[in-house]
Amino acid sequence: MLRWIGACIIILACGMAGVIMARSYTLRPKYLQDLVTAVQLLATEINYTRTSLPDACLSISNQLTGPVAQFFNVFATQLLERNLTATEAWSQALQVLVDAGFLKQDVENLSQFGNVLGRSDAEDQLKHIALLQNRLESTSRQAEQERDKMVRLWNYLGFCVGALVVLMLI
Amino acid sequence: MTKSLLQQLAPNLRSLLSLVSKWDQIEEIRLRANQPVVIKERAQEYGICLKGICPIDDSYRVTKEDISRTLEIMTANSWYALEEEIRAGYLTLAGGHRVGLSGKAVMDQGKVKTLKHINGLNIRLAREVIGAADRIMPYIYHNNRVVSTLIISPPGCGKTTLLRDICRQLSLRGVDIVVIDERSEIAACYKGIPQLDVGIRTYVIDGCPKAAGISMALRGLAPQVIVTDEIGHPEDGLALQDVIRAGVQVIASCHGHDWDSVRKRKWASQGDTAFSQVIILSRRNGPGTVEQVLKLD
Repeated sequence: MLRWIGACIIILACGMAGVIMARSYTLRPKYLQDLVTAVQLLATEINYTRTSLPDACLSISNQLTGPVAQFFNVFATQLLERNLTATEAWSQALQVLVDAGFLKQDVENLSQFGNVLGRSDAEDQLKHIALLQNRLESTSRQAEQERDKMVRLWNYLGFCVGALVVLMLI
Repeated sequence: MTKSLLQQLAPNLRSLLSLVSKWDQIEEIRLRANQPVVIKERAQEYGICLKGICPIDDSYRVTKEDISRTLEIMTANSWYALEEEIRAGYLTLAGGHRVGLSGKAVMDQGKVKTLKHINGLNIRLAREVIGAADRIMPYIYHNNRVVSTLIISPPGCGKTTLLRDICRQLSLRGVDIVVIDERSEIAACYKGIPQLDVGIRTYVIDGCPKAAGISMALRGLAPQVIVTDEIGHPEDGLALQDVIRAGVQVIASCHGHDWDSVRKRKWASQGDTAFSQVIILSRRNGPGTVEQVLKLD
């Protein structure tokens, strides 16, 4: 009896470990999609209402949740304090995304954008935003494909490893 | 007022200008790349260095980095949001201070598209003089009526300061006013809010060409008086005719020395009948010296 309970616990534990590994693959596409949305909102603020950058970023952070919202919030707050340049504030805010598990490639794309943000007229800003959007959407699609593949893999792997351990112990 | 201005400067310049103790006489702060800082009062100019106020030769030399950093702060890192202002060559800061820009003009089909490589900032401190219009108010407002007036003077004689105080004082007397503030000098709006006192009954249309602004005012804002600065464009004359037809009074200013030279201008041929009197100013006893009040009817 006890062995059956033990076996179930092992299988469940390994299964849960697999689910947790799978989860990290579901978060990345969601965060990237949040970024795509945020960048679209920024384009709207710049193109139609010519809102100043700190105000636009605060507004964006209020409309989203999670690390992307926090990123824009940190950026806007730093700008409003006027002690850092936009580039410095952007780099500092990027740390939020690094801590949330964004890949180096994602952060690098954003970092390049930070060098041009707010420094030219609306037409030019929108061109840079369009370029960033393309990159983000392509990365987002890749991340979704990876998620579909890996989530299934890890879910099965977790339970299978659990079963294997049980078999080995029996 | 000073604190809000200092916050808009690069950290270098901020700490340097914090050494200035007397701000009430300062009219302008002139910053040019690779040149000494010049602080201008009405009757003298001087520089500033780490020890404090000093002759211009010893003044701190502004770097290009100081200028770009200051501009970033002044524009809130949002160059795109201030395209119109930059094209016109100036920014208005919180507090109503005006910053003139110098740099390289970027042209597009013969018109200025924007400025780049900004190499100079001319900060003109906002000064409202409450009571500047005390002496002339009896001419502007009597028998419970506003008299349409044109204020003529050379530059630097206090036309705008006077117009602003006229708005404020008329407001106190219950008159509904619309200010067409094409160059954002009368009300000095920052993010839509007047930074200088133009009165409690005053609507401000900011950054709008006079003809379009007057049309908007007459259609939707029910003014008793329209106030505008720097009449000079030929189209302004036509716009003034609309004002007369609507039965609205107008108080305006224009550059000049006397009525005879001003009335020969193109706009005056269509718009001079808008005014019942002309007030001529000079700097003879300081800005705002009234030289003459001329009745036209």
